[in-house]
Amino acid sequence: MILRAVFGFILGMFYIGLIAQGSRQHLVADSSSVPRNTIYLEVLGAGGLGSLNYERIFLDKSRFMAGARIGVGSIHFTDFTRRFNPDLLFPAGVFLCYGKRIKAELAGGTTITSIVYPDPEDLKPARRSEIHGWAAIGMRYQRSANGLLLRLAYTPIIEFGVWRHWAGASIGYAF
Amino acid sequence: MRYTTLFLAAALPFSACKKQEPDIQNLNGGRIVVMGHGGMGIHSTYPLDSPAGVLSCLSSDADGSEIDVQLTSDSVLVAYHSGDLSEGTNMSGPVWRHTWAEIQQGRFTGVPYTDHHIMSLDAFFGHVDVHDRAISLDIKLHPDGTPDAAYYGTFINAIIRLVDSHSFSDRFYIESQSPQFLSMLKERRSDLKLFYYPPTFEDGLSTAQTLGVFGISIDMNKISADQMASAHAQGFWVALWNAESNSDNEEAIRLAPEIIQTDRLDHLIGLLD
Repeated sequence: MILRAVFGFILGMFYIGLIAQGSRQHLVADSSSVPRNTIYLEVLGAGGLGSLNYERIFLDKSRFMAGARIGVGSIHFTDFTRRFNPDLLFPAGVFLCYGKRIKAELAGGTTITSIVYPDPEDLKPARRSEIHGWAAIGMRYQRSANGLLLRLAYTPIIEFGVWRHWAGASIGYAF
Repeated sequence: MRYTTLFLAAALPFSACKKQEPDIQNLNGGRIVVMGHGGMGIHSTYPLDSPAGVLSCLSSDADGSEIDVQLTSDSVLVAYHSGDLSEGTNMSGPVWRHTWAEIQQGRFTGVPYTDHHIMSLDAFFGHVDVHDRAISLDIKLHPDGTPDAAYYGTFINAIIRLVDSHSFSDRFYIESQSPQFLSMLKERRSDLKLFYYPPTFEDGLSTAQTLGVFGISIDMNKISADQMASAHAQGFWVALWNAESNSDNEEAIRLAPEIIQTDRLDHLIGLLD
């Protein structure tokens, strides 16, 4: 459990580091052809049922684009005793895109989950944290100016070491 | 005059929204026992019959929960709905081909990233106090439907062990589609409230009369208000299931059964509150 938490923390720091690196580059030289920041809502996808995400582009050369994303989602806000005790899911990862307005996207990352289950010993609520993997291959529509972002992707999940077919659709605002 | 009209126009929507107290004529003094189908029902993000789903139902204002019950190859009663474990879990084959140790290794595959497991009824009721709750066990027998007295006998032994080991209320019900199973169980324990779960209402009524069971558990789409009255006239309680939507809940109430097992639990609780 401690190892898992440490691993999750290191991964989280890695993604935040990538996003921060994107910010630093932005300060040094801004030659971007697309807005660097995006907030978007993903239905299904890497967050499971859905997630709210922030992404930051840290490389933008010609038609290639690379960035990192981090988000938060949930399954239940109350646990099975009906008390406020939300399940939390943090999808995070890196992505590569190629194209003009309509881009092909390839992505991968992890989702750190903190979900409340009945404890097998006494059936009382007990929170359990886990790390899972995900990948994504899809398309995105993104203009060079601030504005709408649309994504559609096949987003298989690797949960408990098992591959699961999944997909996601996103809508957001790039700025 | 104009202000009065305005006031009446403003008040109308509120009076229209006021809950209608349904006038229910049934064998439970006009009260309907509200139960969740397999806990929180088929629409829930908790898997059907999972510990979290049933606990969530029992934490609500519902009277209790229906639970689907199957028997493992080593005679452990477990909560699972379908005939084959490939429906909704990462296992395959019927429950009765697996031991409890094997079943414990499986997990439900509903919502991504979640890890809900099939529960043993003995372990569940060992931790959860249901002495004042309504519990209905829907007995799911051998999936091929072949009458097998030895298998039924083993199943019945397991049920009797469960009933004798835990404190259930007088609202503890057992449902089965098999007249033979119900007959064998009634012979062993005449104090249990048994429900026959028929393919049609006509079959249900005649078989319930023959068996002398407590009631009939039937798909709400297979019974009319007249048939409900006919079952009541003969002293049979009626449990309705397949109430999958809000409008089904309203229709189920109109039929005036004694029990509704719903997939929209919070809505039904709100209607009858």
